[in-house]
Amino acid sequence: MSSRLLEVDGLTVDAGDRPLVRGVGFTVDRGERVGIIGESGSGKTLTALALLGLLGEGLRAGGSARLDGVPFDLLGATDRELSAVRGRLAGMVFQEPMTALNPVMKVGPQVAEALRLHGARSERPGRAAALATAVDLLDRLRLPDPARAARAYPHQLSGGQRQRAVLGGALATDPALLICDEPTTALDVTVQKEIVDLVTGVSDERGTAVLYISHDLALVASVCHRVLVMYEGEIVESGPVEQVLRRPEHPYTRALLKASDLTVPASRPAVPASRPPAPAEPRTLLKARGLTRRYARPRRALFAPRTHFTALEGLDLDLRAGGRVGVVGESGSGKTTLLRLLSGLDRPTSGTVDGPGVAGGAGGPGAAGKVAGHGLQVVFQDPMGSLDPRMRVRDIIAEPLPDRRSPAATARVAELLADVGLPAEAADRYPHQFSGGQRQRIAIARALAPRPSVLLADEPVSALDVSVRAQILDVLSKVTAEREMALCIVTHDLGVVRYLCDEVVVMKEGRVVERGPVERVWEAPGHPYTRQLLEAVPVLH
Amino acid sequence: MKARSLLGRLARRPALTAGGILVTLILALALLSLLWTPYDPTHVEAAQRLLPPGGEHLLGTDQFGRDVVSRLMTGARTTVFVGVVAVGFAVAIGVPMGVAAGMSGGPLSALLMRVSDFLLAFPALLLAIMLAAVYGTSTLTAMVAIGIASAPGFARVARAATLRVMAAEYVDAARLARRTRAAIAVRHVLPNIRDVVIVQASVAFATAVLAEAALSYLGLGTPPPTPSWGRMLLDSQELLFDKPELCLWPGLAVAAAVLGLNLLGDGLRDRFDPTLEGVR
Repeated sequence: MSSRLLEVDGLTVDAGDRPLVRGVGFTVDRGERVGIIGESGSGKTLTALALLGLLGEGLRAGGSARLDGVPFDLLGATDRELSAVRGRLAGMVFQEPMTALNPVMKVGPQVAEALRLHGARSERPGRAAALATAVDLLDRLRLPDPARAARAYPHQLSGGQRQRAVLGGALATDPALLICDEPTTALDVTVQKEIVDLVTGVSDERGTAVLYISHDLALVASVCHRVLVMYEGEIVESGPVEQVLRRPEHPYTRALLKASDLTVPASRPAVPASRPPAPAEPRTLLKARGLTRRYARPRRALFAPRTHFTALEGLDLDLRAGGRVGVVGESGSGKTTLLRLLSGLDRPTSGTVDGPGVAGGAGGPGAAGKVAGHGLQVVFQDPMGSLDPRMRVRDIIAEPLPDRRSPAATARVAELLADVGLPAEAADRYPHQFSGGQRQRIAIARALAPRPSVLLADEPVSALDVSVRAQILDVLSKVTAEREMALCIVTHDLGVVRYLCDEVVVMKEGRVVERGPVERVWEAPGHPYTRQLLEAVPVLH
Repeated sequence: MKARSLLGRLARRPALTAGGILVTLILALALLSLLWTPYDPTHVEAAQRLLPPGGEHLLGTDQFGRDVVSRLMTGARTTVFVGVVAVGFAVAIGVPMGVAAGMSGGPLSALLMRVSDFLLAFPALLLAIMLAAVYGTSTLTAMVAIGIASAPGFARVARAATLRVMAAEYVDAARLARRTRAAIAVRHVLPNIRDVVIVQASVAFATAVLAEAALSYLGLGTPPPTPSWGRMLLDSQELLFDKPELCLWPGLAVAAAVLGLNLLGDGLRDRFDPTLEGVR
């Protein structure tokens, strides 16, 4: 375990005259798993890309990086020299498995390609032999029905299956070092656990060293032996996982640890205490009954019968004043469909929604256009996509107001900006001039503008950095409590629900599998799927 | 570091600068020709036929003794006029069609796009010949023909861009803000598809310049004696071997206009996108 595999010294990455990574140095031993933690823009991905010579145009790397068994410095090497290293000695797994695979090439040959391109010319296996080895490899990565998967195109596999295929390609030549860049960020939490278990399993079994890059502290803690914390292009802290988590020294590490810890109930926003005693039967603001949404699949042939895909089936939901419901599920569970039906952006195939300003009832999907309106507003997932890049913040927030140009509207915008913790000057700027967290604050301000009684939020923090997640959730919590609003959060993140909600609805494949008070579900999950979800969440400590 | 001087900013956008200079030059020549040209561009002087460049006539004279510089300047006017009207016509038809198709979806979208396919499949030249046969050859006929022929391009581009905008969450947010469809089209869709329309317009303008030259060359555009670059090419064709420079001047003028407009379009696209500020 003590032999050194990778030694990086004084690694820098510059974009023109702007330093992005500043003098990073670390080592990785054989078989050791080292995590790099940091937020977007901290330089963690650039560090990994620089090692393999994969930096984009306009970026320059400096310093030195020696990999055991390679006679030259990785950072000074030519592309030709590096291509021998990539794949053979060091494999890489990227964040988004769809773009890491060639969409027009079958999966098997893609994995086999790695085998056929590396190694001495005489040792390279033939096409058929390489394909057989690839199928064998996919089998060992527990891809169900590997022979069939090898014949499939990437888009025919699920996200988790694709990431296994990418992992297969990276591991095909049995490299000494595996670099994983946020390999599970795009995946569901239960799939994340499987992939992570696979990586640690392979690493233990073959003695493969892993450089694991992630923004998720708990995840890195469950994978790695040692952790490096990056902040603004520098390593601010490093050490064994235990030590860094228990006795963090750098203020940034401490802040990150605190922010990551959404699961601790003690840190729940102190709203319940200040909240007035709830009436015995709080007003029901929104009532959904038997909501079902089916999508017609395209016909397979001209006269083939139409088949349907059921995104949501027979869902009942009540949102009460002051109540906070969390809808939890993985991709494909129908949670976003639910939100679109509740808000009137889409019409249910059958079932009814009775809520503020909602006409309700079933109708063709073409009947969309009559939306819920002012009694109900939505905070969307991606604060870049939900704010029109061509509009000033003032106009964005004032959009739901009846008289947008009046002095009253201007005053209201200023008031809303203050409510979500943004300075008044923000009104005159454009969305791209703000950070992700600030943009989500703007989106919340817009949602509050027409004084809705129901607020729906679609994954409100999943596109944000860890350190601002808690802040945004606190803002949501504060503004909804002050206004006695009903809040419904749709998310895949159980931590968010635990942090914010009173009631949880667990969904799987369009159906509710379990619902109840958050504490009860956490302490005694009734459905096996809920248990599986809870177990898959990486926990600190 | 942000360059503060105008010169510094121009140097950071060479395409925009070069395109802007070329287009401004042509516009300036066209405007100047309204007030002043060295000679009357239509004045025929038999004694002054085919003078070489230099001397009293900077670029010489053509076979009718008309001053080439004066004719180029007045021709620029025809070109700019035809381009502006034809592109304006195409934008006015194509963009609303594309936005409507992109926002409505379903049968209306299909119908609008089939109409645009039909127009796209119809040869523009044939359309111009038909229009000329019915209404006679005139600059207006040429402009309408070019405009109709370019409209489907705008419809396609606008529809594709609209579809992208309609998928954005800010459109959902606007619907929740109880915005009408028309308000969403004006406030969200049009500003966000502006870039692609501008780029398409610069390409269409360049195409219109070429098309006007081609139609005039075929005798279907601007009738004589009004000077136009295409007509000048037609007139100089018979002298190609004796006086090649007579072809060269209008040819270079057309090339400069097309190049300038294409560069300007690309430059403007980069300039207008607020998210690309400071990025190259």
